Amino acid sequence: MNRFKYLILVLCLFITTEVHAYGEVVNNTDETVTSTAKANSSTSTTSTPSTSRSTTSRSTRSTSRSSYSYGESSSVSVGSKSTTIQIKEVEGTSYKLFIDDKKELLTSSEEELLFSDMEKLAPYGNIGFLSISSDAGSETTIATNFYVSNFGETNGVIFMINMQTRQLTIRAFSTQASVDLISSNKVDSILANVYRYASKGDYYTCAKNVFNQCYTVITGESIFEPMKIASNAILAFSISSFILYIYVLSSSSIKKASNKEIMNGINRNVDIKDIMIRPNGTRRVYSPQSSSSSGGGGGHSGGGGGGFHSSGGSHGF
Amino acid sequence: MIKCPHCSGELDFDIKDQVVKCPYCDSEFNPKEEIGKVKSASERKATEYDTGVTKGKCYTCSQCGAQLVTFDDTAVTFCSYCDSQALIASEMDVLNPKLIIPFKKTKDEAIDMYLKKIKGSLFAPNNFKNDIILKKFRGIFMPYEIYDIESHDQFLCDGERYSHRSGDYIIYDKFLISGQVDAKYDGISFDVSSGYGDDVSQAIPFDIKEGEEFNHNYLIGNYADTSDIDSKIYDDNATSMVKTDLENTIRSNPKLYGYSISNVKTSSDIKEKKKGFFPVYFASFRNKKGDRIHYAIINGQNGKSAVDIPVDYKKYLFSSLLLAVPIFFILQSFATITAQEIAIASLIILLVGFIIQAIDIKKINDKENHVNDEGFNFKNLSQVDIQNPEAIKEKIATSIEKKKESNNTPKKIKGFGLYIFLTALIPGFLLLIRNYNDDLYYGSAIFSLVVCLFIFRFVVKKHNTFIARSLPQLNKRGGDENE
Repeated sequence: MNRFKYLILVLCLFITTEVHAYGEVVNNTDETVTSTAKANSSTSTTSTPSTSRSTTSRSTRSTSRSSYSYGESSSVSVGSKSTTIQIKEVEGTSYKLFIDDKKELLTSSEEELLFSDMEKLAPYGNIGFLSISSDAGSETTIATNFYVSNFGETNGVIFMINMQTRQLTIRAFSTQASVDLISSNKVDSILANVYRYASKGDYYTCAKNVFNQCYTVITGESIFEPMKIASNAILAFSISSFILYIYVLSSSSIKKASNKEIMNGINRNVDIKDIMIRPNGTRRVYSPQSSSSSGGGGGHSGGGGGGFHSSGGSHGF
Repeated sequence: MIKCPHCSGELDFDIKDQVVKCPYCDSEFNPKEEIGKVKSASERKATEYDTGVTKGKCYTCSQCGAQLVTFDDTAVTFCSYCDSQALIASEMDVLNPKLIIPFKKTKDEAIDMYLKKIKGSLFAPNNFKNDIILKKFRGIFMPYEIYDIESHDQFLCDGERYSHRSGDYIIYDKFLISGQVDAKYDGISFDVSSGYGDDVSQAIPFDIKEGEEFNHNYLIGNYADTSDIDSKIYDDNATSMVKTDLENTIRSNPKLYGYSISNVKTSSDIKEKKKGFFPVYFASFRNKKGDRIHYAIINGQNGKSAVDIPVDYKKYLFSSLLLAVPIFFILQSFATITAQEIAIASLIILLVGFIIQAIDIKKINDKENHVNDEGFNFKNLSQVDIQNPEAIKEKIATSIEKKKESNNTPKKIKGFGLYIFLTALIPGFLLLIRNYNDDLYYGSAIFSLVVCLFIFRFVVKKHNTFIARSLPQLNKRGGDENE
């Protein structure tokens, strides 16, 4: 039995490490972009690969990262204003539709079809599709910087396919503080519904479904989340069984009476007197005081557009 | 046992009025006074028997002359033929009780307390409320050893108190504290019947202050057991209890507020030990298979109960499903769990399930092997020197340690660690290779959680089996003697 306990401990330590690594890449947290995209000097669109890093294809997360910097020579200049982007304006709104299919995942006709699929979302923000091959940063950073550098801090949704890391990413941008255009939870559900299309290579259908489901969510309708329902059902039953199991263990065992209860039932007479307290030296305990914060006030530089933030998530395919 | 001096009818002890009454002529008697001659079972031509499972003596009923079969720890019993109460004088003389706590709760009140306990237990089987079980309750006086412990000595302890901060250091002042203790503890008691488990007796404490000087009159209408273990094995337990109480009292003394007290040294002596009878209502009933037995014991003085309650698995399952509904809606409303996250959640539940079942299996093993039941372990020692308490304690401790260490104990119940570990490999492997396919994660999570549910099922089943006690307990009055 002790051996199994040791093995379980090792397994847990390993899982903790993996969860931590997993959490670094699949970033579902909202981010507040407080500064516009950094100016960059490079608009290179060379096809030279980025500095080599080990990646695994068809994995849910990249195994390594490099610090992102503008101007770095890479196969995709994701921090710069794209020169391959197709932008379509929609009547009646200042927002635009865009497709930047650098990896040529869509045919021309599919692009046209996709534009028409995206049109219904136009009143809500700049809506777009991006395909890249890069591992110059997290999916969130790449998508956000691309969007902001091309459209500024405005409402919008971007769907990105990164062929290098095999990740699908949806980022939704909102100028209203604390109000998500599409919440990260819903993004997770949409990606869980569509990733299979990307796995099969049907990128158009994947993108189409993304934008259709985004529209459903934005307009307040419900999307079909079968796995969420199934997994929550199983999890709920497990949690309830577990809670009641704890109750069974605690309630069915015969509990020993406390010392106090026993003492209350006897003839007890206790007198403590003549107490003498004599000094017997001192004891020192090292407890450094918390250092005053060096350079305090960190975090985000003021930036403009208070309230602008993004939400979203990624999924492997 | 005692006849009415007016009409020679069998007397009864009225619990509500705390008097002895004759149901035939309505005479009332003070139980503290002598009412009539106590007639014992005839011990002339008493014979011994030993079946290999139980042993005892056969006496002759002083009323009808029928044979009375008793067990080694019987002090008072009833004749199966004429239902008259019979006192085993020799056993009573050996026990020589000095104190008795009379029954304060009637049998009906005890049954009400039992039913309250069963109803309060969410998953108690419905058949535990059956009349068949309720009729099994019998009033029994259990033998207890009552300690009178005193402490009239100095105490010493270390004290510490926060003084000030000096740079990166906190300075504590240390003190030597002493004082005088004058303490008297009269009434710390332990049961001295091996069949009456320590786990039960320590769960239903009595109030010794309501005890009376022993008189046979209080025994009227109820069974009584005598002691079959030596009380010396509890001497250390009694002094330890006093030591703990003295330490707590010293710590809470107003003069020592603000001091952190440690290393308390006190001393106490056992001044007197005496035997007493404490009242319980006892019922025992077999499990479905008939190979184990449940106890239900109600304190005859204050109604506290200790019952071996198993879990009705259907109720457990239904309650789990019911509780799952609000949890499901909470998860739906506030959480979207990704495939990888649910795989991780299943691993966490497997891990916690492993810990919980390991703890439960250990408790079952300890109970099954009577690891913490000193009375039982004393009874089952061979060749023990009763006059040497240290030897007794050492022998019991060795016996208990052997049971804990032994991997070959026939009664060792195996846990489910291996199954849990093998199940955890699946989602663990998927997380390791960082597979992108959600279906695999969901599948592995569902599989893991189903395994977990099965493990809960098996552990609940084992829990149910071993919440009952192993036979033989046939000698315990409370219903099974006629089955």
